[in-house]
Amino acid sequence: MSAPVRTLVARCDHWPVVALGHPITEPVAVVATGRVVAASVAARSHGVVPGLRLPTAAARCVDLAVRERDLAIEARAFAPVVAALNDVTPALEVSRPGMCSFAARGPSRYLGGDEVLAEIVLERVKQALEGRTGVRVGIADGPFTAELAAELADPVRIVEPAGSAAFLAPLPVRLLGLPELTDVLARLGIGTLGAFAALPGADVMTRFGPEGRRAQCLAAGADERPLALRAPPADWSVSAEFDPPADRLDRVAFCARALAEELHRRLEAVGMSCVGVAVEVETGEGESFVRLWRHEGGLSTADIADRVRWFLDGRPTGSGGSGGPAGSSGSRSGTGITRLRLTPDELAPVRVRQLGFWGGEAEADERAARIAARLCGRWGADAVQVPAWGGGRQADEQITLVPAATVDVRDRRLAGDDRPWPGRLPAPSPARLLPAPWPAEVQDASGATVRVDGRGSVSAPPARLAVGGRSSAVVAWAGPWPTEERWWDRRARRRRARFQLLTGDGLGCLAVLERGRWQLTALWD
Amino acid sequence: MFDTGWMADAENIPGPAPGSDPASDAPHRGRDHLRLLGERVAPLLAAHERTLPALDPLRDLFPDGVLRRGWTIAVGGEVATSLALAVAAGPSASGSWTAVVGDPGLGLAAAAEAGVVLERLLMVEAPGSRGAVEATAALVGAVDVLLVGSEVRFGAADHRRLAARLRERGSVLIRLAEGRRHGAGVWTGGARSSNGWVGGSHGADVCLRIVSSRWRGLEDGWGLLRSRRVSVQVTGRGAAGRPRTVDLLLPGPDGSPVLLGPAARDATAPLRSIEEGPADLGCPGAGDAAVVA
Repeated sequence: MSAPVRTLVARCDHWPVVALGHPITEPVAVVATGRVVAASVAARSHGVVPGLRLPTAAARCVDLAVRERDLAIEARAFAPVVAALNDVTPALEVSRPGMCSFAARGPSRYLGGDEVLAEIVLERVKQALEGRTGVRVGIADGPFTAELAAELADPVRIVEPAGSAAFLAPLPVRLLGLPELTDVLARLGIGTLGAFAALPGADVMTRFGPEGRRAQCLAAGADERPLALRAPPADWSVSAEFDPPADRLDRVAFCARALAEELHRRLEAVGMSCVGVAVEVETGEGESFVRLWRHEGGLSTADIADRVRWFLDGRPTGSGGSGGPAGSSGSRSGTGITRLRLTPDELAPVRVRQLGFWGGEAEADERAARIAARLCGRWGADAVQVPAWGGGRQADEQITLVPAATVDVRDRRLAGDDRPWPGRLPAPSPARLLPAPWPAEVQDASGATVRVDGRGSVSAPPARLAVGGRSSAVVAWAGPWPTEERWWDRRARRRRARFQLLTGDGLGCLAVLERGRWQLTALWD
Repeated sequence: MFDTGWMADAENIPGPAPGSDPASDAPHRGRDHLRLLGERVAPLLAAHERTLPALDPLRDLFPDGVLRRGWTIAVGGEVATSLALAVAAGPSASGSWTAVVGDPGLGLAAAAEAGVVLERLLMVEAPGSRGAVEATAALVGAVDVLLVGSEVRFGAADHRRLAARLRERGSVLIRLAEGRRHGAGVWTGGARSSNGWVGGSHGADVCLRIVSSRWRGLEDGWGLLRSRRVSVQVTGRGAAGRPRTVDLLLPGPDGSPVLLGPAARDATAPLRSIEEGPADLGCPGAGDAAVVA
């Protein structure tokens, strides 16, 4: 059993409240799914504690401000705190917004001991928080103990190496955070972590399973969970400023190419390529527009430059007038672009393509990708589309089309549709789909329109099919195969009965009866 | 692993005229050897490169059982789409790219069942009256197989230019004939020409036309469309000129074409086995095993 990693945990108090921008002296509660998850100091003094249902909390504190929890905002607000600690340690784990931890051994040795390290961290985080809330720091063996140490700290608590068991022993078992387990333990008369840790391990394993045994190890201060270390996200964005403001599209596009090249150079140096790029422009009037572009196969320099151009071409004007400020239509004072910024959005290791042994197939793939790009450039992104599995019961749903510009044409693998779709028609599939279904009339022998009742039975066998004013005899038919799709959604629900009809002149077709109207949707052509 | 036996042949290839100075001619001699070797090997490579494979059941449609690069193939008759897909499936299955121009209603599930590899398929939709023609011209050479929908109109000049370009770049153009009749009497564009369909066959090297078709599997109130027996009439120019008729199941029970043997062509016995499909075909999803093994 490896020794627990010496860990430092820093936690900010009332983070969900603080992150939303409320001072902790105001009575504020942050709720998620109807329960209080965090409350400010003022709210707590009225008895509003996490876990309360919202009506109860509102009853306890009449002027309570209630906010919905927003994890994204919490995470974003926490970024300055993380940044403040970046030069203390290179590997910081943000356990959740408001709490971060890192392996303390290295920094502690470097800085001269746990006490010094804790003080430095405390100071840094306090600075970053600018007095909005308190921060507490705990150092102990293993993240679990360190987290408890931080929770009980005032404002620093350092548990001596190998002192975890003694520190944890008097604490209540509910701190394990496993309500089901701790309920049972409480009924067994085991109230503290120390008492739990003292139970025979084999018996705990038998009674509570591996999860219980793991909890017991935690209670004994043997915490093996390694920290999930993540390197701080580097700022890869590149930007250029225009002075005087660029009022012509070609100037910006030219600069975009240079920026894209720089971006590529920097990413290449670390063996990465970007899947998406955020293009941000600022105008002379201080407006800023952002657009994210992505491409599965990675974006080359030319791709990025193209996208900047498309973005500027198609961008709706910011303030009055038609045509973008940088439109080639001409210049207007004060509305030029002052800043262009490219931020890679998703980094992925550079794709290494396995080329065919003689290069033939790879070359064909390249040619196809080139012609697809060329046609897209000529007629727009929707001019070339490629198939993708959709899944579904109807003939037109099983395979859908996606614009070739959004995928890597050269190296595609369509996931085979081996999932069962009960109710789809088996092979052979119709060779011709009718994007605009043909209105039709299906009549029985007496000339009345064929209907299908709620139980799915046919009013009479179809005898004639009339399409576009021409009518022919139905010589064979089968159905109805009813489908009722999306019945849970009032607007999207569709109830259809499908028939295969074969007419006297050899036309096999898929006829669909929906809301009393017949249509032909596909032909076996 | 690499059989280098043919290298030995290089020794037997006559070099430059004897008597010349061996020292000064050494590099030339090497180069000549290479050139001669190249000539010896070249036709072999080219023969392979000049053609594209066809699906096995479709081999009888084409001379030597292959598609010749540069061909224009016109496909007509009432149920031409399946046939066009089957023709395109051969090259596609062996690594070629296929582009479909101006035919948004093509059933891609049927294409996949026929054997077209969807990973190597581009669906091109160019706007405007000339868009499709321009796109087709641009795609020649970039993809091996072009499938052009019946809505796309080529003028006579377009045809000539395309044909020349196809021969030069080595792609195959499959053309769904204009003015095909969709069974129930609906015409999709194109004027009815005197013999019903030849609008798109103008200038084609091979004309495939379905002269009769008969579905199996669908009955009065039960069953499913399972397979279709068709007779394909082949006419053409040059090597493809010998008119003949080939019987196929198109699509076969699993969507891919099946060749009906001479026995099947004469007697109805094998066909009966198709009719005697599993009895529980009443609803989709049940018993869709291949009936024709």
